[in-house]
Amino acid sequence: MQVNTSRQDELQREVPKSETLARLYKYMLRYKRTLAAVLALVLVTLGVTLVTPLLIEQAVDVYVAEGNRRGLLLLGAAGLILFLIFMAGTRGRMLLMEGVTNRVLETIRQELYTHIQTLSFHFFDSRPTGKILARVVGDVNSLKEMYSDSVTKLLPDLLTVTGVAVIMLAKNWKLALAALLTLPFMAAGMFLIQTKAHRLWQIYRKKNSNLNAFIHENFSGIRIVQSFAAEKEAMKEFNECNEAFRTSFIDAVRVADLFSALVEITWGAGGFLLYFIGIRVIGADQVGVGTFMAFSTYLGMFWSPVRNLASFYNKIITNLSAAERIFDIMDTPAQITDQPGAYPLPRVRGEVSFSNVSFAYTDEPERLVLKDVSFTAKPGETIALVGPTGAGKTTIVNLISRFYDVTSGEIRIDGHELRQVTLESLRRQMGVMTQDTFLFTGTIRENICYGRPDATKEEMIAAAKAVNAHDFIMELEQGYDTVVSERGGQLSIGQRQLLAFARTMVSDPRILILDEATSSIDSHTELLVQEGIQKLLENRTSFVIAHRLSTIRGADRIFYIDRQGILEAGSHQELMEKKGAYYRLYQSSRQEA
Amino acid sequence: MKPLVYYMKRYWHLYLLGFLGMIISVGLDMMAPQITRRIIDEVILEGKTRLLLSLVLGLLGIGAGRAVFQYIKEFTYDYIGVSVGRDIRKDLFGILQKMSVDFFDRHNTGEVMTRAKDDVDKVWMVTGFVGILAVEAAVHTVMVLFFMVRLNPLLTLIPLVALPLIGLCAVRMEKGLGKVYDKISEETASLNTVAQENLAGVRTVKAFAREPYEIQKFGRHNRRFYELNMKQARILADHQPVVSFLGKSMLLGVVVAGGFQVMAGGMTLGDLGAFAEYANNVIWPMEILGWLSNDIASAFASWRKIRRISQEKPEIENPAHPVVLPEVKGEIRFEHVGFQRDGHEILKDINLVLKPGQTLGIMGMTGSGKTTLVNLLQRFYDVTEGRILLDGVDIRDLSLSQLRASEAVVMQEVFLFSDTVSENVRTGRKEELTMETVEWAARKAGAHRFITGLSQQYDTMIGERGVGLSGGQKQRISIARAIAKGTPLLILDDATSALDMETEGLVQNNLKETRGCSKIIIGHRISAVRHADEILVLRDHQVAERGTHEELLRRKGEYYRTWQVQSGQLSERREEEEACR
Repeated sequence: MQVNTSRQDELQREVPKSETLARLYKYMLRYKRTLAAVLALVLVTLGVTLVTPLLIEQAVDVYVAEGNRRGLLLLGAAGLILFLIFMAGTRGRMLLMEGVTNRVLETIRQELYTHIQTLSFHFFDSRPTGKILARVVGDVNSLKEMYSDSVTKLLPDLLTVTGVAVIMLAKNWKLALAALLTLPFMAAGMFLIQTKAHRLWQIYRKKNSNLNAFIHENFSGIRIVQSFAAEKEAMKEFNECNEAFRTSFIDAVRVADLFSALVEITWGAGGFLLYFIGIRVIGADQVGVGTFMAFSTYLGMFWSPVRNLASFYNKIITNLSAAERIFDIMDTPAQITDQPGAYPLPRVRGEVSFSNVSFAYTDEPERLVLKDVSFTAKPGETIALVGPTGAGKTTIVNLISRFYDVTSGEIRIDGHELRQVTLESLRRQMGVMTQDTFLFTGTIRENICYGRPDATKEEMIAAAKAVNAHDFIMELEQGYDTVVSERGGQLSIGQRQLLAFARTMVSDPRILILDEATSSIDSHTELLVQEGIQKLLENRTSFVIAHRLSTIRGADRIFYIDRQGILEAGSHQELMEKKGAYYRLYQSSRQEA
Repeated sequence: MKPLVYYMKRYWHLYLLGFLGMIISVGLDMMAPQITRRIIDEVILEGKTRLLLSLVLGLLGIGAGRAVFQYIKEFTYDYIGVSVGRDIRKDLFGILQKMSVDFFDRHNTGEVMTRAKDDVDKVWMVTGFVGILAVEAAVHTVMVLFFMVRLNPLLTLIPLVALPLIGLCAVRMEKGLGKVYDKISEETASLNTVAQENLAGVRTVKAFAREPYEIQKFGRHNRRFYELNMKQARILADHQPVVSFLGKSMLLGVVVAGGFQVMAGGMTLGDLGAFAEYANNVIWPMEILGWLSNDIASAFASWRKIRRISQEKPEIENPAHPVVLPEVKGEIRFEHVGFQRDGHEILKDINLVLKPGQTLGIMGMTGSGKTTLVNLLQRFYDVTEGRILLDGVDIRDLSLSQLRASEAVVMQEVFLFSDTVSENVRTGRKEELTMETVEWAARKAGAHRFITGLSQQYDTMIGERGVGLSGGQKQRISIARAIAKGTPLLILDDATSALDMETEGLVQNNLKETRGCSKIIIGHRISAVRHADEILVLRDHQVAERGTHEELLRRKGEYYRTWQVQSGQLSERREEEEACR
């Protein structure tokens, strides 16, 4: 089983970068019209930027040289108007573009989250929550600059570079070639640096994710850390993660920072070539002072977008790995999904039948947990599952709610094959109480009505009363409006279990599954709960995994699960008479009590 | 947390190095226009072609020099930033980890995570790269102005008028952004929290087929996050273009006004060229000013949050001068212990004595305060009345580390780390424990057999919260972990609830045989506590019954009734009654 820890870097499929990029930009293409508007505005502002040196050249070479004061003033006024247009254009562009970017991020995040909801338990079991969280929040956020920069910076920068080159070539192609001679060298250098930097940034992102996972887990388990006085150990491990994170960043910037050095040196060489060739080879009189000044401005305008392009490339490289990790999850197939043509399961009577069901977890296909299990539970029947830990009791109930699919054989409810019906309609009729009681942050009311938010107050209270949760809820200061948190805060585990019971009761399931759910309620409370449940069990098929004799004895039938299947089945009476595994189990536990 | 300066001070020599690199590279930058001016004035206009080669070589040299010093500057500041970030995160982590349990009751994991990760990252950016860029922009501006004044003081008036206007704009923007960033950071925390809770409760979500609702809930926060980001975008859009406008207009103003001066003969053409180039050079610092104040504002918002959370006072603190017990025997004494929380009475007048090597059983109804007893013993909370003594010393006088190192608790809720089985068992004693001890503890906890059946035995990774294992298996590993700790006091808080009866019996027998350690066993099943030297039954936050198993059965009170229910006698009798009818 491949399980990821915070000390381990994640494995990741290698995907061609172009594919990931294409996929990223597909999201943006949904906003074609806005993007067109942004582009138009970009062109306007870019035009102004490109024209500005021409204005200055005109001012110096023509008006100042000729002593034309009026012309100079008019030119100044015209420039001012252009700049106002520039200001308005930039503002519009920013607003539109940010709108698109933020919307795209919202979409990606929502799609990612929605997809995560469809994934099977195996996905959640095989990686720390912190790592999944890092994708949903951090990784998605890190795409922001890439998106907005690619339209508002990358495109204008590319256009600037082309535009400047064209203007320079048009004005004086020899001088232009001289100034741009260094370009190929720079491109080669950039390529070299980026290849190396990409790998390093990827390592950095992984260390980042490890650090996240570690912090998350440490604080989730803070009670254990403190109780075991393991703070020093945790601190040591944290320091390792923290240090690895730092080192990976330093390794990456050591290479990545070479970008600007490269730009500087090529810029210097460009200036050298401009003046040297311009004066020595072409001849100063052929060029004109204003043109030199304009070229020197253009040269500046030329390198700064190139520098931006380089850093943009850098950004893409960094963020591409974030994108890769997001898509990696999105591409994880949901193992349990509605099959094509699945129909909603009509309200069932609750007949559950297994025929020749075998099951093995996907990562250990050769080890069968269940083999050829067949049985039929009649509507309204209560079946207790007993047997040694790890024998497959939980697996059987997980298969009934289709948390996993059978490896072979089939399961039917009222004759409907489980895989033929929609998941939601199936689980809506199923009440599952798992071993861990999980409450959501919110009021008790919200928690009880979690499975059926449209339940009336009367229904809610009736359910709470049925499982004897009403009394303790009323003792709380704000009754049903008391806010409970993830960890349950002020509630004891038993109380939380009672709430979970009430929650299941409200959703009025046709088939009830109790998986060791009552183990933490004291016997006194359990007796009351049992009474309540007995009432609700009427007309419901139920499967109970329980350890207590009182619970087991009350069942219509008992399955003793061991050795990949049902070893013994029958009523308490029958099994006792058989004097087999169940008999021995019963005797030993009675002696204990 | 110490003030931010403290963390930066440590790297003062690196700051200095980076600063020097920056000054030199800016200085080189300043020289370029001078050279251009001389090329225009002396080489082109005056025809001194001899000078050309050395001047253009100068340009090349400036490029090369800037390349070197830029690299030094950038790398140094990246290095400093990430190092400062590491130091801050380290201190913050240390502080957070020492916070007592009440702190974690108030702040959920998502929030704590956001502080320790995202917020520190933002501060890091500002102490490194972003911060120096701000300094560089300022230095650059000052130097440019200096050269401008030397060239033409009158013309410098134009940038001197434009600069404060730009500054004003930046300040206004910073203010607006500061507020938005506070909210964005809060919303990031709630996004984290919602997602985290959903992931943690994934089984419940799926069981109730409530994925659509969860998606909607997340969608609401996601939408709000979007809106806040748009708010930020609007503030930026209201200010940044104005800054650009001012910069461009300034350049034009310089050329027009300078042009008039040249026409009037007050300035050479080369001077005007150089001046324009300087003016061009002062635009970029102004333009990035907006972006910088944006980043700085968000970093300060983050820093305030870090400070706030780190300054919260934990309720439980180490005593200033702890009593040190040379050897802990494991005698526990509760004297009139009471505990109240948020005005609710949770425990009242609890008295008990547990002699070294003895076993105490505690039973009681759900919510009667059993787990609180354990929490008090570990000083997760402090008693509000009376006192708890370990070996005759009030536990509040002991250091937390000695207290907790002498108790091993198996908690009701199992939490295992994403790590190997053996590392989990070793928790708290990773360095000392041998593999033999780990195995021994696992055997005692009845876990050895299933562990050896795992794919990599003791080296098998178990996921977060120990998933991939059944409830009973997780519970047994957590029991092994407590046994391996080898403390004089072992506390089991309903620790065998998920075990089947055979395994539970086995584990209990093993524990019974473990000598030389006092035990407190909390349970719902009679089988868990019946062999204890004394059994307390809690009801309504107080001790309702106490005695040995036999004594309590004779009393025919609550304990007796529970015993009847659990041994199945009650239901048998009922069946008989029903049969009679």
